[in-house]
Amino acid sequence: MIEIHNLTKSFDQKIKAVDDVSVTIKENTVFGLIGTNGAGKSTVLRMVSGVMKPDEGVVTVDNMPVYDNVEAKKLLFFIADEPYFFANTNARSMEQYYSGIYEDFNKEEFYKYLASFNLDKNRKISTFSKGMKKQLALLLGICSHTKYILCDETFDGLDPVMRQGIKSIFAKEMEERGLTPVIASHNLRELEDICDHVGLLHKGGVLLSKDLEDMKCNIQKVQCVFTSVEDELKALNGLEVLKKEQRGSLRTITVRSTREEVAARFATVNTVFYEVLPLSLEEIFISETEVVGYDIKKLILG
Amino acid sequence: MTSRNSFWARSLENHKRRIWVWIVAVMVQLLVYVGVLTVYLSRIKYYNAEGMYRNLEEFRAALIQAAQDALGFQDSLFFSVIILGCIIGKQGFSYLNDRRKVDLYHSVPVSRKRRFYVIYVNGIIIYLTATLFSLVVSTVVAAAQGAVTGRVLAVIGIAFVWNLLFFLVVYHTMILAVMLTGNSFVALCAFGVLAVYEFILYSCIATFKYMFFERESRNFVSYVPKLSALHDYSSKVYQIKWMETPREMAQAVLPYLGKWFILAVILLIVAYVCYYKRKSEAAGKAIAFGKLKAIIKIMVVIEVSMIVGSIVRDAAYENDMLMLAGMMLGGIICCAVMEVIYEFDLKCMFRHWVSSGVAVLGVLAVFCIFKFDLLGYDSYIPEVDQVKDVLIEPDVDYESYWDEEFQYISNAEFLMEHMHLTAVEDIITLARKDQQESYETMGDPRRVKVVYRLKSGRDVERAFWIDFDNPANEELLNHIIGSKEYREGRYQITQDETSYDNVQTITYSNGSVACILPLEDAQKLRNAYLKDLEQMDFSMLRNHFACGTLTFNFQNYMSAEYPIYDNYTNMLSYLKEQNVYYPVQLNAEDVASITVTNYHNEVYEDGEITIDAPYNQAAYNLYRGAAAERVDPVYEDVTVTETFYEQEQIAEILKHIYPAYLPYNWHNSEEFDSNYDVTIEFKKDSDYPYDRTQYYFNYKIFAGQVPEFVVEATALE
Repeated sequence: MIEIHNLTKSFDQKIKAVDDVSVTIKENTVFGLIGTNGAGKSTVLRMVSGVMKPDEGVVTVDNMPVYDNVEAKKLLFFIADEPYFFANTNARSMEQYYSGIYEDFNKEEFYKYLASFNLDKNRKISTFSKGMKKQLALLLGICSHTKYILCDETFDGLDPVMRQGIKSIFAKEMEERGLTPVIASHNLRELEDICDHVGLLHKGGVLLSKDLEDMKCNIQKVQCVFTSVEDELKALNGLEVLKKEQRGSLRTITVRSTREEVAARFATVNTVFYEVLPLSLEEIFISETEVVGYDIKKLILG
Repeated sequence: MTSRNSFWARSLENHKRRIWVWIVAVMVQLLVYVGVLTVYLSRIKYYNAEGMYRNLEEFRAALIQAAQDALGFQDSLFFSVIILGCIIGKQGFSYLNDRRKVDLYHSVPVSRKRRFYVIYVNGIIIYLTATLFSLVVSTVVAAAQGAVTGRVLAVIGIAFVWNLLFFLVVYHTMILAVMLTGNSFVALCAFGVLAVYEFILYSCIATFKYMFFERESRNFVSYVPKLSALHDYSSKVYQIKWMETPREMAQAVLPYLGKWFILAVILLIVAYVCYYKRKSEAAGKAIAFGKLKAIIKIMVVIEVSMIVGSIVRDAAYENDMLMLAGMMLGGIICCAVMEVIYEFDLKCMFRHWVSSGVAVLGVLAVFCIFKFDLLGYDSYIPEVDQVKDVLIEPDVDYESYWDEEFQYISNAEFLMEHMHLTAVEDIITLARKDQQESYETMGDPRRVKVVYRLKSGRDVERAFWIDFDNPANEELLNHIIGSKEYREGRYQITQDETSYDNVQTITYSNGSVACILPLEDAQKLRNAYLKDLEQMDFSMLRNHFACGTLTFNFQNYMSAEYPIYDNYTNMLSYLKEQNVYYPVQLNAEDVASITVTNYHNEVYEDGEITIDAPYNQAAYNLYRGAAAERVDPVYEDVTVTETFYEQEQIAEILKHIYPAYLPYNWHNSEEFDSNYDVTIEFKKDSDYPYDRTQYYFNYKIFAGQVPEFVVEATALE
């Protein structure tokens, strides 16, 4: 488990990049770290990976402080937003470097993945496309067999097929050896179908950090047509309405409640039509963040 | 079996990233050792083909010397070691300047300590391997030519250690520069500052002292940078190179090896602390530690402004206000440049005005310290009870000194070793009088260099003026100049008995006669002169004119010339016994003609002739010691020359002249008429034993004694 306690980091004593962030990343889950550019995602990941030393607070990996701690870092693999590869080198050289550092590096698996992703092990990495470099970085990270893999904007720029491929590998590794990927992205849609837990960063602070399933279970979107205003009042009475839209007589209402409770409540009133719809991650975030006074569309959807 | 994370595994992995450094290091060292050796040996072979060597032994000796010169203390090694130290140090830790590399290296499970150790040691391995490989190859090449002896190998070994320690200092300086900065260009600038800051500061302070302090003197007490290995290397390598034996070389390099080792260790510790304290986010920034920015700026600005100030003052004929303006302007520009470098943004040139203001105030303070002598440097005179003994050197007579092998040594070396005057109170009294009197009011001001050897162990050097015309100074000067300590400290003849067993020639001259004295009398003459020298004091030197000189010539063109005065009875007795004593006063019968030249200096002094501006400029620059381009003066020649042949006239002139060859520096120069020069031509058939190798002999006329007929004959028409 990665525990981030009251993490603060400033640059040049003026710019507070991360301000009192506390997040827990559980094992064997996919943690999504979401935020706009400049929200502090990269800084948090660089502190989690031990690249940077926090000004205040502490990061522990399996109860070990991570900064300049070799034992803690053995559990981590950090893929930066612009992964660095040695000059004039190829995938095989990079494998030699990482296999010399990570004791559990699986060479066989690495070359198998390289082949399946059509990456030439002897080709100079400098000739790779941006997406290919990210694929290579991900494969190196996966094959290092660390417990945690930290990906900073790594999925941005990958085509859907490749992304799906990586996701499959993640799923396999999670199942086989309990890999815990931590994925930072400025794009919510990138993480929608992969994350179990999401932390939303904004201006260096955490707006929320929740299990996606919890969020999905506790927020429901209902489309319905009431027969009368009284029925509407009766149906919504006692429910926490997060959002209500009206188009003619069609109401679209987002409420904080379980699916069963909402269905039971609407069954007791006269409606012409009602249906409990699944929410997208985007909609959940919109609803959650609007509650705390943020317009999420401006923050992460652009 | 080697562990995956062992030092050697990491080391090997690191070397893979440094292949180009390997190539450069090997190429540079091969060029410097093998390349230079080949050139040197080829040159010797060419000389041999041209018949420059008389036999095979000479040829072989030349080959051996060439090998020693090429593989030992060779000039170009200074540059190759600096280049390699910089490249290896910079490249090894350059990852710290790149955020992407930092992300990789600092996230992988390798401790910072291990990474530093691996990169650091690999740097030394690269240098050592490249150097040893090149040395082995070049030694084999030299051996194949028969140019390697035990002595050559010993010199190679000593030079190798000397260069290795120098490399460590350069290497560690570069590593520290990288740790302090976050950008390659700024790292190179920082290396330059770290490497030469102290040296330039010393030069600037020395220049400012000469410019502002009348009593500044720097002949005896060395004023060299204490920490600059670059200065040590460049100033000593030539001396060491020409030493006779490897033992001498080893003894000469040993103090530097110790000093450089300590310096290298300190630099490494500071670099390591910086490495440990340095934040990863410093990558890409100009300075890794923000708090250092202002300090570095102030230090650099003050030094740059001092350089600008000395240039401006020199160019502006010592105009202090222009100098101050130049310093301030230079300081402001330097502040702006530093800010631009710090931020990599032209628009930031006037940022951080507080530190810029402090820097400019610092510049002003430096100017005021020197201009108004705020630290009391120029007025410093120690208390009598603070001083153990004193060395003085009046700017009057000059000696040459040598060591036991007849190699030249400087007057500073000799006097520092031998002159220990205990007449401290007399010297300090004279120094204080100088501060109370004005130089302009002195009748015959003479500059005296003095070294106060303080009881604290410190040596303080100054110079001051003594009025030789002031009777109140006479007793003090007699006490000093007439002391045994002064004689022993000033004249090598008092110290060096053994040299006089190896005299090659001894000559006596009265300004026109040149007599060779018997070599077997060398010690006798020395003893006679030493006895006479006991009579020497200031009054004697001031009131007597030398009546001749005694010159001892030794090996290596070393010679010592001593004046003989008319009260030096022992010397005169000897000369008379040998029938070689000839008075200064010449007989008219021996002289064929006397030519008198009147320069008519009064014309220039009265301003009747205007010297054109370029001449003024050139004269002024020459006076200031500046390397001025020669500008030919355009002025009217008012020199009048007249030759006298009549016996009566010659006899009259001979009464009033004195040989220009004989020393008269202790006398007031106004005792001679500077308008006139006299040249004597002896009769060819004269029995007078004048020096037949010369046609003419130069004399001076005593002031106020110029015969009327000479004045008339040489008057302006």
